[in-house]
Amino acid sequence: MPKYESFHLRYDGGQRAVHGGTYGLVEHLEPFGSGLPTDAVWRNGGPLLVGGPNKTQQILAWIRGIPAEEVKREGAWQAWGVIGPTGGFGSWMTFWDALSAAPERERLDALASAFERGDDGPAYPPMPQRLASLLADLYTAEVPYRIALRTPSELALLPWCCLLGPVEAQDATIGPPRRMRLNLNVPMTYDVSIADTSLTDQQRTNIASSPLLLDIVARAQRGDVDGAVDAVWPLRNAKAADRRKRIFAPLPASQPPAAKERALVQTPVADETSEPVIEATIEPFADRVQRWGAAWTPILVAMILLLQLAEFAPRILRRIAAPPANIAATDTTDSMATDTSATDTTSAAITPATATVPAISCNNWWTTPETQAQVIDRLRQRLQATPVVPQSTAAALLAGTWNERVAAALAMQLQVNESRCAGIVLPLDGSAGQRTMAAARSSNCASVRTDLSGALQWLCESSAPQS
Amino acid sequence: MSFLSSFLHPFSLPCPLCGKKGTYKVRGTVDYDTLATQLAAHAKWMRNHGLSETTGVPAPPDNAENRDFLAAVQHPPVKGDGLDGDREHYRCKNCATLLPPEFMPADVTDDVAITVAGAARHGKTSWLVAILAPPDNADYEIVRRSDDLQTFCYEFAEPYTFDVVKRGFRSPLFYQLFGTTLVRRKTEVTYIRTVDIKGEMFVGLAKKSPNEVILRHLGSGSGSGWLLVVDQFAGAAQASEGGATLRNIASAYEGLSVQMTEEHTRRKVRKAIVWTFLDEATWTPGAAAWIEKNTPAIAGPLVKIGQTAQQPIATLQPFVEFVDGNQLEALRVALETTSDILDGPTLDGLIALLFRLQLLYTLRASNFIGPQGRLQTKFQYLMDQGFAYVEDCQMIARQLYARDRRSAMHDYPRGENADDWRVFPCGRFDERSVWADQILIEAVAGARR
Repeated sequence: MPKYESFHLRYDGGQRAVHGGTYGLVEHLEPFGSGLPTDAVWRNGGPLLVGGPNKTQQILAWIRGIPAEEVKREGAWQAWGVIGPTGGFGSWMTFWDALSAAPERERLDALASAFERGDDGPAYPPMPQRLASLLADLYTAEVPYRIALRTPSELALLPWCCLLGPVEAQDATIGPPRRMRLNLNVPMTYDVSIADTSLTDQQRTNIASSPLLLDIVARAQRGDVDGAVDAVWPLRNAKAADRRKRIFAPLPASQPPAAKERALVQTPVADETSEPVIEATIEPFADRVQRWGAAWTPILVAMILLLQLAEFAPRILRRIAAPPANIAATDTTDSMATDTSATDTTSAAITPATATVPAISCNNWWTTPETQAQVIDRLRQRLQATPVVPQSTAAALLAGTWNERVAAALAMQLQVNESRCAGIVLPLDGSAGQRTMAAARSSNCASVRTDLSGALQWLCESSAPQS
Repeated sequence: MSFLSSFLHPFSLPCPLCGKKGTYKVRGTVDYDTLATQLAAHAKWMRNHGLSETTGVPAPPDNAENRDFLAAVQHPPVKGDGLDGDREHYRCKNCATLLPPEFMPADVTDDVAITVAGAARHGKTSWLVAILAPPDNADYEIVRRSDDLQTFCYEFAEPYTFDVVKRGFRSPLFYQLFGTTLVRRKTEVTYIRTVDIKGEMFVGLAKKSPNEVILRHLGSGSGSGWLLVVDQFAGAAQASEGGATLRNIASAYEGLSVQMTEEHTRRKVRKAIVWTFLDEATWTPGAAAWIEKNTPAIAGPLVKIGQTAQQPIATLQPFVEFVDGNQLEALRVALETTSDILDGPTLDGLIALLFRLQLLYTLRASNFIGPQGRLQTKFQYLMDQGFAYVEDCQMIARQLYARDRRSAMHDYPRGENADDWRVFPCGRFDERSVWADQILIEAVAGARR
């Protein structure tokens, strides 16, 4: 008898079990499903982690309100997921994709089997930008912790809060996003509400003055999730007053700062109506370069040496035979000089090691509005010194959304280095991404890279003051 | 003891949900969130409404307003003004269920208990909305919008009631208590108290049995009790699926009848089917052929009435005189006596005709000018022709309903009391319910008979 069983519940002339589950489970989930938002933005629902009908059971589900036009009834809902033993869903956030996708019997059964085997999922969800500030809020608040989401793209905050928040993941319960408050006898650890809020001054202060949380988030962004969880551990076990001290205390000198290089990926946003968000770190850029370099550098060096030798050997032989004046004349018409400079320019653009390290660390400069503003200001200075950038790009760079600014900055780079662009393209969703990609293609780039690592690194470095 | 209890607690009917007597007066108003929080902490309220005590109170619709005029639940009462100054509000002393005034025996002419049951999405809520909503929306009904008969619904209720009644929100509670008061000729007061039961309880899903609640509700009080099965007309193609649902409800009521051990309860409880969604039936040539064969005397106008367009109010206008001729009896007799097996499309067409005949009556009533001027009520009793016409419509509905179910291989209603079942045909037209209030006629008429 498996401990974990998948289920799918849906309204069909009444709330019923499509597969798995019983009507007891339907009754149990009714308070969570009733009244969920069904508007176009939020109708996809969200995750639910809650105790089961039996106290030894826990339910991991994705739950959504069904729009009235689908079933001719207001208040209907749909839920799918896995029911299993309490405390057995500690790694649920690594199954984010499988859980949030539309329900299919086979995939849900596979999900249950994975929990049964104790496997971890394939990947953590993308990390929204607001995580650090939200964690600062959570660690300075009281249970139940209120998580306010502004757009569905921020849903991924929930698993990350569950992982790095004040309560250990396996003990946490989390509700789906909703506008009306839940009235539960067993309060949720994380009560999720839909709110049209922006960062308050207090939140800005919190995040700006919490190096510990910034460091924890940076660790997770680098892919060191275990390290982030370990770093969270003392916070979770601290008393309230001590917790605040720890959060806002400066990092001890012995603690290594977060890596200065990071590799960012652009995460596709499920909801078309929401803006794309630049999110989680998968692997540090420096690590990637180092690993890649360690494997291929000797081979490449050998190949380059061979090529150089093959090309220059006749010249060297000629120079040996010819007088010195001829050598200078040959050099002025040699295309090799241009090629060499092009290579240098490109490598300077994408290689962080050769760039001037700005005053703002590339680790976290986009995490607060203040540092973002400084970077934008520096971009503005660079823009003024770059007359080839069209006005539309300039407008987007200075006044657009954050993603539009990134796209514009990259487009600018493509135009500046049009003849020999290195193919650094940010694969943004939506029109900004399409414009950027089109710009890259129209500029006859030899290759178009679709990873963000070099792209955003360039953005970071290019925002440094011009010496 | 009973007398003393009545003295101490002026409302001595047992709570239909928990069966206990005794109430307490509610003072003060609270908003949606506050009330739901209070109720979630009240284990007996949760249990008696069929909710799991370990989870909580289901949330109202996403865009519901957080109203601040819901009857509070605190006990003992908090200091404060009454809710509306006109009515007092009571909760059950045991389970804190809010009992509308219609659940209290008082100085009324009659009281009628109605239990509404049926599968989900069969129109229970729509029917209740038609009964409970302000009569201004009752253009196509027979009783309301009348100077002679006024209806007042109880507006203070538990969470969700507003949304159930006014927005068709799916009831997340197992039981919803509503109340409506009928005042006829300004002196005759009839209290209608209703219990709406969640559809899932009749389709083999829920483990909880509502029989105790039904019996308790229908058996208490001095007036009659109505057991209403709301059944949906779903067309010939879907008849078998609907029939499966109906069998479960039928078996629930079979069991209920067995539990009606007291002769008093047996005698006072009436049974009826509210046949909904008749507006979805479509006229067919088969129906025309059947009418021409079996009712040749009135085939001409019936076929023309049946053929009227999708918006029959306008197209029915030339046929309003048909109502005055007392001609429906021929159709009723033909349905009773003919042995023709009505196939799906023919039956469908006759049901569409029935719906148009009802609309025709509404049109006639609204245009009627009698010796004393315009018709004061859309339905007049006893000697009035309208009464006969409506009764004929109900008899035709009963025949068609029985045939519809037989054609789908179902034999319901059945048993020795099969003749006791009434059928109230209903539909929706122009976003308004047609004849949803027939039960009110029966309720008032029941007090007179």
